[in-house]
Amino acid sequence: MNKVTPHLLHHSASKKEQFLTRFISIFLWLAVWGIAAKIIDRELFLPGPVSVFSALLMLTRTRGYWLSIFNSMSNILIGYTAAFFTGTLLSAISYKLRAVREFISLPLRVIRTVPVASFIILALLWISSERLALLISFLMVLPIIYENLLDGLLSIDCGLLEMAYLAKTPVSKKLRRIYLPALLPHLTAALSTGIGLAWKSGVAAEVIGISRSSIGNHLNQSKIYLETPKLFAWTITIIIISVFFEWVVRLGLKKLS
Amino acid sequence: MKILEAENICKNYDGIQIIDNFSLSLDAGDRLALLGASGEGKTSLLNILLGISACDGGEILKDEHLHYLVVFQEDRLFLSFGALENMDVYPYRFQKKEALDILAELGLDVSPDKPAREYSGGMKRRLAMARALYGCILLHKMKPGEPLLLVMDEPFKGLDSSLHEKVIRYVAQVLSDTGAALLLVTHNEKEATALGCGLLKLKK
Repeated sequence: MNKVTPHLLHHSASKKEQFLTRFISIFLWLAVWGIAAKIIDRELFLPGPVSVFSALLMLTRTRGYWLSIFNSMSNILIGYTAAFFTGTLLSAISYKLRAVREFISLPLRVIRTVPVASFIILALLWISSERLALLISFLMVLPIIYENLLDGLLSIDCGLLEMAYLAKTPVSKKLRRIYLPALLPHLTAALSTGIGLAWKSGVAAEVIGISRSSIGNHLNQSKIYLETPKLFAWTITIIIISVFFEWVVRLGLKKLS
Repeated sequence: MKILEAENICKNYDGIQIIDNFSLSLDAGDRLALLGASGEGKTSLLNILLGISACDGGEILKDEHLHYLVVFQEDRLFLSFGALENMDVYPYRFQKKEALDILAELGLDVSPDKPAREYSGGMKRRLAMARALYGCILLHKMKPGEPLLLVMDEPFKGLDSSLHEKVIRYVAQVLSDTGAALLLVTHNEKEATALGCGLLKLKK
């Protein structure tokens, strides 16, 4: 007779375990980065973590750093929020009207497939470079919100809608018990993917459009003057802000669910 | 008083006639059971009578004030929500005491916060029934005099034998108290007779 031992396919880590694993992996990657910088030994190509973090510390002491963050953040977040509302509205209309769904799907597919650089250059002809990041982040996030929410709406159990129709369930109860539970997973995916994309495309727009007092412009300046540690410092800034907003979005949605 | 009338209902699926010239007339307080084996179009007919499926021929007339309270063949529950939130689907203020009484009568003594997803098959069935019975009691109170029709599609399927009789007795009591009519779909003649239903056998 053999003893039966449980074969667990899903191992759930505790919070402490998760934190420790994350901390160790960050530390290991920083070590890899430091070793690589030491081997290359040229700050121009790959500055080490120490010089990058001291460049970041220097930047945080300047007013321009915070002003640029504010400008980029306001443009990108306005674009992101506008994309959320427009995408939600369009997906609701498309859900109700099949003809509208067909009509909208073509331009949105075009937006998804056309390279972001083409849009940035084209948009520069229409609007000032100061508002370019807003328009580009809006355009990049809109299809993601729209398609995810439409998928969520189309996945709603028709049986529940029929039940609610016969019971004459009020809209508020239908929203809370049928629509929201069906949409939340799709909304979480759309909003957390969207925020990262909004930052990536928004900053790319600022780099190409040379928007004044913006993160993208500072990235560009660092490249022109070969200030690689600063370039890395600005990149780290973007990562921190993007990760922070992704966390805020996930937390908000978690509270909602 | 007539509350629902169906005349010469026909329905085809992929060229096969599953309902052929079906007619029915229900008065307030009537109890009728549609009997038939699986695949004889009972649920399709029910969906047509409820107005959530179209027929290929015939006509359905209903009292303009008629309220449907339905136990579908599938439970159709809000799986992330507890028992009380599943029952609160009607356009009136929720009556918690009545809802809890119904749950107790049906032997559903679970924590109201426990999501329906975690219920067993039999418990989900009883919750679906509780929702419809709560609707009967609520609408009888809020809209006195307006006709009610309790529609149940295989409601006792999957119920423990120990609960079976108790649940049937309670359904019969609610029907008597509220004056609601009953349209029962089943293939168990005993259930239909226990609820005092007239029998209508469907044949292909």
